[in-house]
Amino acid sequence: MRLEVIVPGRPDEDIERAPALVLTGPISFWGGVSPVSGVLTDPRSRDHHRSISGTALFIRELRGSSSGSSVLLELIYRGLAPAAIVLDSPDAILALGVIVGCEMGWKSPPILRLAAAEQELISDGARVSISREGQLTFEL
Amino acid sequence: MDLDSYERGLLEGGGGAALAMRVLVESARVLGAKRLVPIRSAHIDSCLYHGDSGTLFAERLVELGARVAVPTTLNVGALDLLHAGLTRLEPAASSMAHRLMMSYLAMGARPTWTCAPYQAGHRPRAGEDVAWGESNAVAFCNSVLGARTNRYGDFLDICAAITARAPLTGLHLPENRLARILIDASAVPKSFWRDDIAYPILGAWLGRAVGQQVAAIEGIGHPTEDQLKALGAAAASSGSVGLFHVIGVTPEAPSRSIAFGNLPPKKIIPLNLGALAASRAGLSTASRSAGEPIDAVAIGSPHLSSDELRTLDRLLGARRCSKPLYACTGRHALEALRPEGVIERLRNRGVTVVVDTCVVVTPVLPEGAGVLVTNSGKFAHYAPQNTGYDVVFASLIECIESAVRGTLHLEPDALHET
Repeated sequence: MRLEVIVPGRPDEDIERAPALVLTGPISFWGGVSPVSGVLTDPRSRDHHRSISGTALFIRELRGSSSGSSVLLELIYRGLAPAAIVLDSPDAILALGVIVGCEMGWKSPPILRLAAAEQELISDGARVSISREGQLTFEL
Repeated sequence: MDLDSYERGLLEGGGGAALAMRVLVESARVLGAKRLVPIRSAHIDSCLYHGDSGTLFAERLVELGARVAVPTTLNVGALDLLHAGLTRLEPAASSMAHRLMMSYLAMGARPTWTCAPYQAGHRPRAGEDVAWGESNAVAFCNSVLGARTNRYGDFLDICAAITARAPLTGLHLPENRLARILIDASAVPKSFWRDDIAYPILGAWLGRAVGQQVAAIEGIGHPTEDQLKALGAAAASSGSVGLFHVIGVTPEAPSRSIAFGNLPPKKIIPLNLGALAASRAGLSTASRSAGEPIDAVAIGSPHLSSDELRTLDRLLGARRCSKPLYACTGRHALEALRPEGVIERLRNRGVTVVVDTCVVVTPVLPEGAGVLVTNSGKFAHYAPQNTGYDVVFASLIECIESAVRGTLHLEPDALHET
């Protein structure tokens, strides 16, 4: 399927066979993701303790502390960011982390858009490939 | 994007201003804004250390010669610059946090280091477009001052300050500032609104009830500025509220019809004591009964005003705290109260006065988790995840009595009887 590219990021190459992490609940990057390890830290989340690093991260619902930009930038700087981030709707807070990451010359993930209902087609752990134009394919 | 000649000039001029403009334009595109709006002032939240990357970005801007183009205040950093050794950041992080704070000063921002810049002399006029960060400051700026800002997040705040522009969208547009939801508080006894504790409880409830939608509250009398500050801070942390109106009180709501732009409310939500009691209960994570031990008390999120510090001084009287009591405030209040001797008296009685930062954004509380008592809806929201402490939400009097006794003190109130 073809996804809208919200920000292209600065990936070194096309994303090939990244493991899908399909979050089941809402996430706030500030307070919800460790900026030093990339691990999900919200004890109320079913995905607590999982790492978002290198994944194709599917987020159906984003809760926004505005410090989320800083957490994503820190993950980018440490090489611990997801390979790609897929959101239900455009979000300026995460986009800013990627926009600044690109300005700093760091490898930064693209942010793409896929409606929450369509995200259900992607099963957790599937291998996801995304072209620079936003063409997404996956294999189970 | 439709840019004017000044804006195109910044993009083409290179240096720090061009970098800031690129970030701003790209963010505006993501937000769906078709053009930018000139701003008159900025309040920056990006000076709080979250990791080395933020410091490197700020230093890049400084190296490229970026300067703020509008009057700009700074939110808290991760260090108390006036009281060395108060925060327990490890040396490497402490050094990067310090470099971050100094980078923002080097760009020409004022060293206010407070989340209540509106009580440190930064008060834009009603109707002015500004770019403010930090959720409570945004809620106050929009709601109480009537100036216009969106919730500008990290990095966008400083880019707006450097370029004197913000994306023209959201709460910059008058039609998006009209109330849509009416909160009808007529079923709540008027006496409830006399106590300060009513306002963080109302705010926490409001954030959950309306999220980002604009609500107008009717029937809570005439809250003070500090009460509105507490209301907004709690609403912004529980539900991303960027603007609320209080009919007959806040500048864009002199009457119900003006607040709603002569349209009927889309929704009317009745408020009652039961909902407020549930909201109060939801602000505590620790189940402690009166008389049980507590470990620390924290007040001052948003930072305490001079009036609030005077009240603390009066209620504590000549007694000493037996558990740590942290009073977070800005250096503006320290300066204002110096002639009265308030700060010195508080310190002599065991109060730790924290400036430039606060106890939920940097390690200040005693090591090891425990039970924290607070009267701040915002501290109650963030302390468990940020500090590991469990929280008991209580009134200012209950906070002070608990710090003196070392055990939880609770007073009878309207909500306990429902």
